[in-house]
Amino acid sequence: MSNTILTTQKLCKTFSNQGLQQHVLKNLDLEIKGGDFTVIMGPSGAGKSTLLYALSGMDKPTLGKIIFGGRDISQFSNDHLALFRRKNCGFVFQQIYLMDNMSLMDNVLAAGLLVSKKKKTLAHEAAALFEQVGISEGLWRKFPTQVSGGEAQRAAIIRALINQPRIIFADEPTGSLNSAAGTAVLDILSEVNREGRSIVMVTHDLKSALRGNRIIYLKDGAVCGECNLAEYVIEDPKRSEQLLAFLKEMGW
Amino acid sequence: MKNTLMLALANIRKNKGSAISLLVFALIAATLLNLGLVMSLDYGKHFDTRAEQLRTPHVVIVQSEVLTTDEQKNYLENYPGVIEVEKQNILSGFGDHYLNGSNAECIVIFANAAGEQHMNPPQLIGESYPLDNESIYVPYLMKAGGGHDLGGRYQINFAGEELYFTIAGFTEELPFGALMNNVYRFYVSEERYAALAADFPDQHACLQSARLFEKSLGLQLELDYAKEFSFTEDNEEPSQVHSFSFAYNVIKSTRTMIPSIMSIIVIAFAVILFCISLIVIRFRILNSIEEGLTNIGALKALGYRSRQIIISIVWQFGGITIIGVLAGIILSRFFLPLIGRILEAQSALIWEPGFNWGLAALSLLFLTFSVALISFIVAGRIRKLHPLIALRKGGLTHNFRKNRIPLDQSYGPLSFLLSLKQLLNNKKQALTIGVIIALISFASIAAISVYYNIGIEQDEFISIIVGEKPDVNLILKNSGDADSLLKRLNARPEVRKAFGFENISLLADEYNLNAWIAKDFADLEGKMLHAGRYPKYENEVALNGLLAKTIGKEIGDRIVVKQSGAEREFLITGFIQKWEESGKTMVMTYDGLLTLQSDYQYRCLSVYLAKGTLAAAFIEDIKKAAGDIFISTIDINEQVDSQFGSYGATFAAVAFGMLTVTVLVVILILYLVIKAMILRRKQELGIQKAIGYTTLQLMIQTALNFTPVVILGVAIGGLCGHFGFNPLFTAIARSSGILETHMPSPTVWTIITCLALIALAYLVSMLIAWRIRKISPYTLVSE
Repeated sequence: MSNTILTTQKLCKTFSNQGLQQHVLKNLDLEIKGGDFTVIMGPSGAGKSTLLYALSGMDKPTLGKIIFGGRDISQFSNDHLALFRRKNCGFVFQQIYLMDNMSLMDNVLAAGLLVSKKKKTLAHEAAALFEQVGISEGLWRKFPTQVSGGEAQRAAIIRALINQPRIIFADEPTGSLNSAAGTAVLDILSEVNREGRSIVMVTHDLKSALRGNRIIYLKDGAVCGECNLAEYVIEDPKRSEQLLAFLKEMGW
Repeated sequence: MKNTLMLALANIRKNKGSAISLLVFALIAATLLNLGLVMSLDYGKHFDTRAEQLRTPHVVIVQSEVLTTDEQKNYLENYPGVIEVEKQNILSGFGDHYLNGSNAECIVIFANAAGEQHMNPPQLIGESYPLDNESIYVPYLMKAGGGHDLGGRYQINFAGEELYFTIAGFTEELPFGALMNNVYRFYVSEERYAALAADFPDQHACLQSARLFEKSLGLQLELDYAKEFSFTEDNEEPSQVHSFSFAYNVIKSTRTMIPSIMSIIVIAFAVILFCISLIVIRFRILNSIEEGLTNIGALKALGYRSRQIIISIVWQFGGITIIGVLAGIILSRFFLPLIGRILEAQSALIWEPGFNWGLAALSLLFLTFSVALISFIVAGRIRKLHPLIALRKGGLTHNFRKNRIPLDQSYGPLSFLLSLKQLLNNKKQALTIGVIIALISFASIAAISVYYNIGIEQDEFISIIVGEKPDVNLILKNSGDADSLLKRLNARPEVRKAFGFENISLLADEYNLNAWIAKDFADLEGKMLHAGRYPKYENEVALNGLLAKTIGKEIGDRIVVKQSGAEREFLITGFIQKWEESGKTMVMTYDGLLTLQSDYQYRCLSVYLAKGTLAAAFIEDIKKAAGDIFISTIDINEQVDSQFGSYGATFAAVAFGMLTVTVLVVILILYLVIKAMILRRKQELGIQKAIGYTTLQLMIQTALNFTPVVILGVAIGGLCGHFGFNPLFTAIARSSGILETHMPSPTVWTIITCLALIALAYLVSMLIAWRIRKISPYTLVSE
């Protein structure tokens, strides 16, 4: 239990629209451990993204608790949540969501400077990370619209990493990328996970899901099943067989 | 047509907040423009109409009865263009009247209410009582601006005697009865008139009035009459205090001066506001094109022609303007009676403007056409928009933007750097806001200048109007007492200085001028001198600068001056300025006048008191010490307070109105711009929230985004307002002989106003940016 960084207790999320209520998450109990690469899968409308954003403090649950580092973040105010996110969470979105009026470096520093005031150190760290993911200085000085989707998404991952968060949330990070760019992004995430950082990723994509060591299948707002792939290395064909069997069982 | 209207309505529905803001802009601009136009054009017209209805004379000449001859009447009757002449016996002389409890020096005319009077006969306003021996009809100004009521006690000083009456009614007076003319006609019963005539044999006078085919010829008739009769050797007392004349145009211009200044200020402000509205409309159109780029692309893809989309934008903004302008015109209709009442206190003219269809239509056409034109021009760039590019939100695969303020190489707080980035990325928007804020700051500082200089610290304005402002004026019954009294006055410890200073009429280069006479102009403390120097020697004069320009005279030139049948050339040593119709004024030394009129002596003495001396106490003292030698003793500060106090209230109202509109405009502009910016940057703000920015940080960032532009705009506008107001005011007052004014807003007031505007803009930005709290990162991703 000491390794657990995030748990949910009877987590519910209900959306209301013109008197109609839609229960998206229903009494969901979940536990994320440090160093886990958790993949959330499920059919469309199962509540995957809703769960991801509730876990990350981007949205508030209707009922239930989200315990992060021993504190119930569901009770936090919006500003308190913002302070929480900047220190503890990193985000990678399907639509990338870099600020298009800033260069790639500035996008990273705009997040980094929220936590660290040492601009030079931060810039060095960011530059090193850029180099690590294969983005040269010539590229990081460019605007998001001036680079490819893969390059932009790699920059987004660096933005997510710059404050050394305890957990990274990724929502379909390869959804808008071609195969090669997607693989590069997944390689980076795997590398980040290997370095000890927890990752929670929502995906529809089998290839992406294989990177996770724990698969949670969500259906109608509840955890329908869970599969552990940690015992197989990524290249092991049994890993994909295990995953396919699990997904088949879940009715995917 | 149907389709374009439908598109326009859809756009209005989509941006209701912006539509309402533009509506308010159009409403304010139309209200002010209509108010200004009605004041500017209708007030003078109303004066003419009332003058015709009351058969107001086009020239009035008041002279001593002994000086009035049949020959003069014949001259008037036979003067080309004269259609009617009337001669009445009156009593005329210097005196004091009381306005709001303070006495003020004036010329008093008593007329017999039962006497025959065809021109401007006593026209009673409101309730009245029949006259008896104790009662009096007084000019309407006494009620409108003087605090007197029907049935109230009325005290008046006439030729040194205090007289008491009961007010039986108020008369509508055009030639005599306004602050600026300072000549008041009072009607008493036949019996009381006879009694007054017996009591004041030296004040018997004649009022000769004439009406002409063309009223503007009154000025020429006045001049010709003066040349013919007032300055001849036969006229023994040409400068006798109750000999004076007015032409219709002079009366009209003095009585409509304040409304004229007000209307110019209001129209100027309306024009500034309208320019701001056009800039805002341009900004809104560009913004709506940017926001609705995909819609435009979709419409074009559907087969809509660019022209149709442009026309829908013209409909959108033209329609809002029409509604705003119509509402503004209606609103101005409600404000006009209020302005009429404010003006009554100075002009004593009852002005109840009706609905002026012509001016309303002019305002509507001008404003709507301008908006439609600017909309058409700005929306024209839709023509160049390819449907595919529009569908892709205008994005091109390659662009060559530069990264301004790279965060890793720049110094400063994060919020500041991010806001600066935002600012540089939106240079055109920044320029728009900067220009608007500069215009509005200019108007604010101009309003402060008007309020401060006419409402609070009136010295400069009064100096322009009256020229010289001593503490006390003493008017002697006998001019022979002047020298000895001056010696005694200058020996008194509470008197800083005393000297003779008064005005007389004379002819200079065929112009009938008001000449101010003093022995030594170094004694003067006012700021009449504009260029060169005051006259020192008996052969020198200084002319009003405007008049000098009109007649082509320069400093160093010579001018022929005529008085009492004598004439001689004088050297022009300088130019002066003083508020006088067409600048017809000059100054001349006492010794200089003696060369034309050897028996001339002062009757009016100006007294400057030592600091801490009360004028009222000094007047009491000097009356006791000198005896019954005064026609009038005037506490000038009290007189100025009573006469100019109402100007202060009027211009305070104007300044307050301008400042209120300024605040409203700042709020509206920032509302429009920040709302549009938040909408446009919704995704970016959502991302920032997602990565951990708090609402307060984003609010500060948004507010700071505008702060440099606001500071720059306020600085430019403030400086222009501070230093540019005087040339502007001088241009307005130029026709009245004013060539230079020094009436800036006090530096501290300017600085405080500028700081207040910056603080207001920041506060308003923060308040509007508060809507950022509604943007949740979840909304961003779920959208």
